[in-house]
Amino acid sequence: MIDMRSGSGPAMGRVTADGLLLDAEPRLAELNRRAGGAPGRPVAVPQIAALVRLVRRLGIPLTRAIVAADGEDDITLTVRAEPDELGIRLEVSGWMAGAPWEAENAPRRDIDFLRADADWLWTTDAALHLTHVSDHVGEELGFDPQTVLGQPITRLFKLSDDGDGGFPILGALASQAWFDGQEAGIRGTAHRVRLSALPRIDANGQFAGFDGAAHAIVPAGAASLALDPDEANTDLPDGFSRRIGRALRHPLGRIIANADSMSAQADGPLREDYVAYAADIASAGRHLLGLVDDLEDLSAIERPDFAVAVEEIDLADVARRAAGLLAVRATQGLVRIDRPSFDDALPAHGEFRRVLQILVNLIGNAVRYSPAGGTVWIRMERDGEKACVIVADQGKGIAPADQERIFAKFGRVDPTEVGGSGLGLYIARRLARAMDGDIVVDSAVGQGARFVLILPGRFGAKDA
Amino acid sequence: MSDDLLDPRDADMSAAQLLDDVVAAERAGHRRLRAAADHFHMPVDARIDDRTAAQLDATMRATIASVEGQIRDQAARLLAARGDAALAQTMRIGGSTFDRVQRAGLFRDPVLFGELFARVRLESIGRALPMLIADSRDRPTMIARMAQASDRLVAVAAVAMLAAQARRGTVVDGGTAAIDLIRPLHARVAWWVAAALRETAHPGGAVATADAALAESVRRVIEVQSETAPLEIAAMRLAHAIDAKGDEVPALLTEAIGDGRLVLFVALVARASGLAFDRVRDLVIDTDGSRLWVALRAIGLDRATIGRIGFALAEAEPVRDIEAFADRIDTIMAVTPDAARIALAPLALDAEYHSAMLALGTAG
Repeated sequence: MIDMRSGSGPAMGRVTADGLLLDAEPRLAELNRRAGGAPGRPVAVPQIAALVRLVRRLGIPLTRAIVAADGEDDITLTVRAEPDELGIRLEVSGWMAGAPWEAENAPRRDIDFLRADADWLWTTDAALHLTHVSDHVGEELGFDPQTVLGQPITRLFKLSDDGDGGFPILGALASQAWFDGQEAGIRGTAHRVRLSALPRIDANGQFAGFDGAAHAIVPAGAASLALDPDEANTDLPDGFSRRIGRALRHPLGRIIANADSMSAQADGPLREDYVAYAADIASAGRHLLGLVDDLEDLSAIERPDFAVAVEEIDLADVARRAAGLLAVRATQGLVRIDRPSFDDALPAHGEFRRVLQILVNLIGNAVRYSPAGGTVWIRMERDGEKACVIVADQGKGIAPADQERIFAKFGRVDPTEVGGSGLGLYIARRLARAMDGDIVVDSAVGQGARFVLILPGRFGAKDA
Repeated sequence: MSDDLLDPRDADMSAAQLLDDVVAAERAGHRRLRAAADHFHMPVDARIDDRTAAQLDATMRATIASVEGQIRDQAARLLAARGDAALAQTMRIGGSTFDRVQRAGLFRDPVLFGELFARVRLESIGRALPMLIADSRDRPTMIARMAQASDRLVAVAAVAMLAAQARRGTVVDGGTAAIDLIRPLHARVAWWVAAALRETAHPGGAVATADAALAESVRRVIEVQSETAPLEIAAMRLAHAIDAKGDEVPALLTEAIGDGRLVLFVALVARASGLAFDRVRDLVIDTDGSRLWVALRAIGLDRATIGRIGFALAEAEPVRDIEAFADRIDTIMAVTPDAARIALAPLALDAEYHSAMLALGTAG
């Protein structure tokens, strides 16, 4: 088998005016042979044959990206067919094995990231003339877009070298690759920016220009004033969660909504397995959205000014509500939740919403790790001045060595396990501690797990 | 931590709300059933595909949002200057008027709907066109060359078109940003939005003050908007400035389509054929390309250029039948420019006259 993964140079071929393959370089000949063809017979790869037929009738060179089946593989090819006096000349390049959707969507995906992270955007053509700058930016930075549009990029940017005399943009131009970290000044202003860009490649594989992003560089002195002095302590700066939100929330929402309406067959009947796929897509989308929520929670609680409200709550009541919210999920998993009875009460201090969030997480985990037919117990306990909720399950338990790890950021005992972001317990414990409480675990392998949420009690002298 | 939590303390209120909504829901259900029936009986080729529908919806929302933002801003400033701080504040806040004006049928206006629909279609085709830059790679693209042209008229028009494109937002910007409608359409949207704002602002006793502020704001907003040319007009101005001669047209059209600049492509064809921009745009967004091929023959395009255009459009929209096009190209070329011009003559008539003819079924 010839290695198709190299993505190396093109393979040539020649087809007669009436569409018969005369000769071809080995890789192309081999592909054609495996598709059932032979020299002197019509081209056997259907997509190439279709392009050849088009070229014969239209009489112009045409290029098309195709995905051809090759044994069990799909290979992505760029086929150029050019009529000449002898017939049609074929040039087949690309030769990338793998999922075709990956190859096709990667540039769009990259642009999404570029966009999510940028202060503003610009594009150039192949000769590095600016063809676009974001509309708002001229006014903000103090230049007239009309004086730079259509002009060489250096009319807007005064490019700086990287300290060794190199310019990232020129290196990228030579290799038709992406670049980052090209610093530049905006001419006629004091603004400085960091530029990054992705190359645009045309249908023939030629470099067609850059799709670029600009990030403002804040001078060192101003930076310490502009930034929250404590933000440096967190490894998820505030802007990050905002960007995540901007980049992911909207598309994820659309994915979930569309997948849900497909799965509900809102627009007419679908085959059963497609309904199931759509449901899978929606559930994966919800999972990702959950991760985004977690990351935003995380960046909120890691801010030094994060505060919780102190309310008078009844812990037993909150636990019952949390159990109620998970009742459907528990039933689906054939798990029984043994929730506190309506007579139970355990007065405590905490923020209602946050305590509910913690208990939903603890009970949700317990349900997830319970075997079918298992029970999750929720018990209330008073320990001196502390109010405790115990959530116990019959799952596989947690080894003592792992008991701290599960509270770590992205900590999970079994990294191959699906579901959850690995942030839930970390966030839950941070929230509990912010309310002057804590979460502790008590478990042994094979004996289930007991999570205890501890909060300051609210016991009058009568109870004490 | 990721579950959607409804604060259970809101539950009782929600239940009451739910009961209140029953009657309205029943009416809405009946309306939906009728709409579903209409939708079902619609011929397949008249249906808008989901992607176009979604983009159309986004464009309509962006239109309302941008006009509404301008009017709110302007009205709030006027009211604040006149000492009515409370009403000014009401103008600044409040939900979008989109649902209100849409339900009331703003976008049922055929001209407005037609304009937005055509833009959405043209943009989605343009986005999907295979990019194909001209052979000499060190040369700037056509639009950049024109921006640097020694002919001042061309240079100014080319820069203006790039600026109009930037205002509208491009693919890298994540889609449509601002809406630049021609004056009559912009004015219609602005008045509707103002009327909806009047309702949502609940001015109470200050209704005359609110009306005066809103009306003045709309007039100013229309005035300001009129100073910038929409992309379509900018493209037409550029096409006029270039004033391409017969043998220059094929290369310009090929480059415009290879660069994904369909608006400019339409403008160049419109200029060369003497047809209005809107008419040519209708031909380009029609997946049955017959009228477009005839229009391209009317401007005397050669076989290779028509072939390239046909191929590019079919690559962008697979529903266009490239095989049928390839089979027909000889027939297309057999149409002489004179015959093509005669066939297209009705298109060159006054737009309203032509649509009246279509309505009577006598066109062509």
